[in-house]
Amino acid sequence: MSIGKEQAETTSHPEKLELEHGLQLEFKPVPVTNNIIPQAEGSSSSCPVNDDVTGVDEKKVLEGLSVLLVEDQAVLQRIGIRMLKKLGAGVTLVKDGEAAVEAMTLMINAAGKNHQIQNLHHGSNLETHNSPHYDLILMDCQMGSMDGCKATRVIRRLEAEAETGQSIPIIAFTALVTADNERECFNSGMDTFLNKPAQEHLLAAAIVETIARKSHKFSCDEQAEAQDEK
Amino acid sequence: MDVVSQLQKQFIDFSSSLYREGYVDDQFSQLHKLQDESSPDFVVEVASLFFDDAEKLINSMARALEQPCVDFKQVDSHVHQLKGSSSSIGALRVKNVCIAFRSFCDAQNREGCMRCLQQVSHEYTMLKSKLQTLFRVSVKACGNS
Repeated sequence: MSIGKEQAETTSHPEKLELEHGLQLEFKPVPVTNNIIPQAEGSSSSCPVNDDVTGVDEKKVLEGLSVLLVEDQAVLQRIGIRMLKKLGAGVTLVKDGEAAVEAMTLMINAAGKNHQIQNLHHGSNLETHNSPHYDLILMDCQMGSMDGCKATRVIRRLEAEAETGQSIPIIAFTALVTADNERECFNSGMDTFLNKPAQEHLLAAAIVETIARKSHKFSCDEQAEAQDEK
Repeated sequence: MDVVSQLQKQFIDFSSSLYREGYVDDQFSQLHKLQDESSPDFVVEVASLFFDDAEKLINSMARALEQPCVDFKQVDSHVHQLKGSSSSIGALRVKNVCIAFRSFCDAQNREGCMRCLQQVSHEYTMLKSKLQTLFRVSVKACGNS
């Protein structure tokens, strides 16, 4: 384990992170392990996630982000889309696990081609492949023939095969709050577990925190690799 | 009291009674927070989607429970979906029946499931009637203001 990685996993100093799309967050890095966000009945906040988002308009805290919403029920689709748009996010809806895998295949393949082009022609200003881009997946768990966990496993396998090092943040968004389901979600490769229905501010906090955590881990992994190469 | 104030009071009283009698919970208020000028009929739209969804699911549960050999996993799947959509709109009583219903599915107890089916159907019918009344009163109160 390199020094860079150790620092990332043990420090408790608040850090400011410059994310894509101009988002700036102040947060305390947490070990990249399972992060359970319980939703207590009737309570407004019992969530261990650090939902202090400073320096950003609270109402449009997801401005500039693109979310892939994977949900099979019409009622929940409507509510999910409305909530995410109100928070400023762009939303793409797919209705099952298969469609989520299809959408991610396009994105991963495009990212893979762009990665190859950049590796072969380092520093050149070449045209890159365009495809829909998502910053995060909000994944229902219980769906038709391909459920959220199965879809996540396929997506993680595709990402590994593409060898770009990218790993899209995935939040399990589910009404089935059991220890077994939670374990299955994390084992499949999901990053956060969020109980449905979620209030707006908890959904926003979960998305922001998950993206920040993954972004931080990705940059620490890159630093670690750079250290190892030296 | 003028007509507008009367209608508004009627709306508030009726709305309060839904919470007091446990038909809806705080999640129903959360839906109202998502409604604004850009989405002025959001609550009615979501309620309509819920009515369609619930009726299909209740019918599917009934068909599944009529079978000589009941597929309790199938029934449970429908109940889980109804629990999810009812809790998302704040339909508290419907949601609570679904919780009990799932236990009977797990236990593969057909009698228990049949009782829950009757109960969930009753609670859904009551809720639909109450919400439709609420929306009618709301339209009248807005129309006259």
